[in-house]
Amino acid sequence: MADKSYDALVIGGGANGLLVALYLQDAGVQTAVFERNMEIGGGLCGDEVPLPGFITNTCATNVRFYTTPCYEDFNLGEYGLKQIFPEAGQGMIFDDETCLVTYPVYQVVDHNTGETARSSENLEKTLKEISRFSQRDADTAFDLLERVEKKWKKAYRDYMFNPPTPFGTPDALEQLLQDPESGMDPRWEVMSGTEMARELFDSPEMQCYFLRGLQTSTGNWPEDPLGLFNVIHTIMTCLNITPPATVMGGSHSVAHAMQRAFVSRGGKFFVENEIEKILVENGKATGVRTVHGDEITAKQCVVSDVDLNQTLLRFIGEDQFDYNLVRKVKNIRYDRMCAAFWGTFAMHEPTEFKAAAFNPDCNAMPRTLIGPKDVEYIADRQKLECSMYGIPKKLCWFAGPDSIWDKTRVPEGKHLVQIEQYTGEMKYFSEARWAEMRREFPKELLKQYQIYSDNMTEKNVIDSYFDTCMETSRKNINFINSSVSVGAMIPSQMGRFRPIPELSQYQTPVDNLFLCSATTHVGGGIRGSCGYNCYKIIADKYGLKKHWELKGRSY
Amino acid sequence: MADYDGIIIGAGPNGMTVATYLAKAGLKILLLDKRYEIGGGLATEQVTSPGFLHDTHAIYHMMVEYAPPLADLELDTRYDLKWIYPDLQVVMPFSDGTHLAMYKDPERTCESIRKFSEKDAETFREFAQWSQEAVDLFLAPASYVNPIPPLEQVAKLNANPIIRRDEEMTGLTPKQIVDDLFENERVRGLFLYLATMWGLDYDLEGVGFLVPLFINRGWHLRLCRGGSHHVTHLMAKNFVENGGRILSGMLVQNLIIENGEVKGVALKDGATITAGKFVASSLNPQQTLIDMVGPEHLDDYLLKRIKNWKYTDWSYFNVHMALKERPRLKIAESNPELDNALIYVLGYDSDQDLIDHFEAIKKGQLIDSGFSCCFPSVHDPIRVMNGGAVGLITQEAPYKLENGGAEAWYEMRREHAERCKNKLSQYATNINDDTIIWDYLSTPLDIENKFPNMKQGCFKQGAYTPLQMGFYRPNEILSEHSTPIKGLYMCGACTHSGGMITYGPGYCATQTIAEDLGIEKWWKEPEIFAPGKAAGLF
Repeated sequence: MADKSYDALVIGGGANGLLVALYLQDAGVQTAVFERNMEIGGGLCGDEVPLPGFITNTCATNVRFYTTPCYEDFNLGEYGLKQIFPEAGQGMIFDDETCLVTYPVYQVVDHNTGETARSSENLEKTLKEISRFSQRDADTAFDLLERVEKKWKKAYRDYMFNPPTPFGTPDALEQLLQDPESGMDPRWEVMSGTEMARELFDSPEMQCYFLRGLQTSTGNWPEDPLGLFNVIHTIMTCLNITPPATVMGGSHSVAHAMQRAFVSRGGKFFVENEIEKILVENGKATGVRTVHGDEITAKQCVVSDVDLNQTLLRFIGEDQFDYNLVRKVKNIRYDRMCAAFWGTFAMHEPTEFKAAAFNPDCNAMPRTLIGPKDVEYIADRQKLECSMYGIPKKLCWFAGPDSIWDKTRVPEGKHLVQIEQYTGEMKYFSEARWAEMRREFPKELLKQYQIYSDNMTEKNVIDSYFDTCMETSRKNINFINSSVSVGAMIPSQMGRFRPIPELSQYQTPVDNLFLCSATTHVGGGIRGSCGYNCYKIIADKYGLKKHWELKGRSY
Repeated sequence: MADYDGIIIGAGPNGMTVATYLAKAGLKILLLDKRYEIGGGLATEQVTSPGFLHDTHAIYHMMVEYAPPLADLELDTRYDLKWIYPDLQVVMPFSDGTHLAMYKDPERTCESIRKFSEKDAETFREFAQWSQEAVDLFLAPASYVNPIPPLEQVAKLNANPIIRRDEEMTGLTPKQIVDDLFENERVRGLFLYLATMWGLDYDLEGVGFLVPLFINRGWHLRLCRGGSHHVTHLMAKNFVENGGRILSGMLVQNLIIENGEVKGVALKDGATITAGKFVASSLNPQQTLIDMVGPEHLDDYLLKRIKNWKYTDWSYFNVHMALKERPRLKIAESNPELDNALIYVLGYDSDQDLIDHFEAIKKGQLIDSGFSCCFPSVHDPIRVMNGGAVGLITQEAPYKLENGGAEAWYEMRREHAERCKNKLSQYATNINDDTIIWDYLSTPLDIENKFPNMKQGCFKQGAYTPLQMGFYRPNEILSEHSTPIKGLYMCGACTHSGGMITYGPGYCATQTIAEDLGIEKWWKEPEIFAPGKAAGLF
């Protein structure tokens, strides 16, 4: 380490660590990032699998980074971040050769700021597609859109990009509950996904779509209570109010852009530098020690982009904290957004669905959900079978045919499709069984593709690559129990309860030690909020540059 | 005002070399790459299972002691670059349980050769000493200076007895050179492998002067700690710290040329970026001059020369493996040191076995033949974060297959990988389906898919043939890295001094650009030239 002293040290070079580092460095705070892996990015990773020339997002995919304040504040487009906005939106292919296709009701009109505008043509098309199954559901969708536009959208952003309010002060979403004009039913705060699907929609198509959609959008099972944030988020993704986007070159390009913006401002980063100790003197964080034995001084603060077990218990020590706090930290639930087969098929031709006869646009949906038209199965039995067998009898998966839009991720003329299928938790199966399932799953998936498509044959598939939750948790060790949101995003762990009430303000009992990982509000999903909100707290404490005030933003 | 002083297309080792030197010289530089991850062949990826780092392209670094950029850019002093240089460099186990071993220390290599031939051991001792002198004097530093026309060059070289000996091998094939040196068929097998492993045809005349360098490099091979890609990290840090800008995922449509002068690049997405002083391309001649410049800007002679540019017909078939445990070699049962070799060359009991393999390649056939393999984590444990080991099989293989051409690789890759893994099991019995956690295959076609500049999987951007080397690389018009288009330079492996991550093309191109632009050089002339200069060779 050339220089052993910096103003701020960031532990972990994931999305939030890089984000907070970038804001700090921009504010003139000399910052250094320490990453355990050989490559920065955390969940913003990409690998050239299943074979050379094909680039797979092995963790975060369909990143909508254009929605983050960071994208605008640093003009990350200038640093090479390019978002692609496909014409089609999210939708679902069913096992009876029908499909539900929706179109981006909002389209990004300014690629530099991520500003969106309503497309009445796409809205008409979306409502028409829904009405093929139920006119009443189409009316509901329109009604929900109006509510989102009127109050929810602003509240949603204010909620995401501000630290949680203290107990007793309603946050931006809770204010909706108190506002009779918001159109937010107070019961929705406590309803499960299944209850919400039935509450909102009549047709089995829309119910299945909402139920499978919420899994990818929130990481929860249909039986889980969602909380207001997840309800709004799921409605917005299902109706494409936030248009889907994919990152040119793969999600890892977001990390590159932030890293370049950071380094060009004088920031330093060190890979293969795992931290083993946070140095504390008189209750203040003063630096870190790496596993190589280097001690680095933090003149101002230490920010942790990793989980709490590491930050507090490993780097500092259980005995240094009040036992009530330790117990709460140990009891954090990591049992959601934690169990999926993630991977890719490399192919000669893109998938052609049988349902294309119903609507040809279904072949090119950036977020394609595929599964049986069976509400009971998706709502209930699916989870049971995932827990019992690992690979459920009826697969119900997400497919992202990214190569239709991004030619940099495939050799000329070839294609890939990104896959996500939920499964059981790590603890339900042995390591050896997961290793077997890693090989069995792609075979089973290809078999079940036959229900939906004629060209997903062994001849068309060049190779496949899949990670199970074992691999995902090994890639980033802060994904405890493979929870990529570093803690379930369930109502008891959201907002001012995330990760636990005592730590919800991105601060810790150790002075000058801050938290910015997905374990803090608003959670995982590369939303760009944890690091941003953490910086807000740091900026307040040390009187640093306030980008949001300079731009006159409410968030 | 232009957006940048200089734009460099292709962020491999050579493009990065040019970019970093010139950024540090105060120029505002943009480095563009098509791939999402920069570094070109300096790629280290987790392609089998998380926690297992594989060098997916360049793995052995052969010019570490000489390459000026490594020192000038302070990669190991200012940053944390570390080289790993194993004592036991290459081991060749034979089917009867015997083996040949090549060490860092030529004396120990002699001892190993002596078991097969007393005469060959003595020949090697003398060869090792002479080749080291020749490499120090000329063969290595020559990679870092622009070539001069052949007649002048030959006159200079012939005046020096040490270098003349190398020069006299020019007309010989690698096989003839090895045959002249060694009598034992196994010793010949080892040295023919070393002479050809970087892509020379065993029966090609006219580039024999490369053979002593390649054989000598056979006991100077390093791994980069943490994987080859770490060199990229550190060059990129130095570059960005000096104000450089990197943009990846950028597809260049064409160069903007006005009145015979390059003004910038036009991207496929419609954007244009202007360059006030220069554009340098590290891509191959066709990409740079035909695809991006356009034939209308070239005269017929140059166009013809570029169209005739030849790529190798063979490249590598690779099997990367995540392993539960490090391999235990049968030959190491009596001598544990043999478990620690950097490279194992398996499956060839004589030079004839190797020649049979090469002949099959010429016919586009995949036969059950030998290969080299390496287990980098044995030497560099941080490549496996959760235990286990990483392994790599590298086999010379045709780009076009006999039945079905290059596309047939998609059908054949799996079957052929199984054959290679089975062969490995014969030499290291603990490597089998139970211990191989996952594998990742890469064919010559895949190399081209990964790096389109490496056409036909040719990792040197063009074959090493008499008319494509030295002053003729890529041809006499372009051999000083400048082009007929004012302000346009070439700095890839297709220019002098070729491929294999020597940083030579990038370094030489940097010198040309700096001189043309009248830039004050912040770097000094490297000490590697001192002996050659004293001998009147430079």
